[in-house]
Amino acid sequence: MPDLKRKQDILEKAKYRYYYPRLVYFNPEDKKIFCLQDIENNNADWLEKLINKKKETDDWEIYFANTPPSEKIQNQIISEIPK
Amino acid sequence: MRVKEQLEAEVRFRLVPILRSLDPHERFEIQSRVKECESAINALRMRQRGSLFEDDHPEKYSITQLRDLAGIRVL
Repeated sequence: MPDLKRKQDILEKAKYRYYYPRLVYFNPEDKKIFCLQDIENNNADWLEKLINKKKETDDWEIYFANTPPSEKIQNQIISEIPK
Repeated sequence: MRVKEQLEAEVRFRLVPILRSLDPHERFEIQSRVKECESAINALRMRQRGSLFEDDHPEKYSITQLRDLAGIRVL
């Protein structure tokens, strides 16, 4: 459980918000999105590394732990989260 | 429903040795349930990234992927 607490702290400190309908955490300033399933299935280091990683573009990005879903799904998630 | 009945039958069979050794005032009860269809679909959806199904690939999804589609409780 300490990892869960640490992940929550990382997200909170980095000002990520939860969007329940799509089960994702997002930050409108960084334009980054993480799916709850990936956060749960990976450790806090994975999360922290990606949150701190500098993006190459100013576009919204969703970070996945393994095979990403289709672009259609990704675009739908991005279009729905509150900005 | 057949899965539920089969599970119940298997559990009852396994508990026969225990049944024989129960005191008169003791008993056990077996309860079983199959997940409601709507609930199963929602549970499957919640397991997907973004809580979304890919319409173009329905073959990827099956409620048989759920671990709690049928459940047995022994009391």
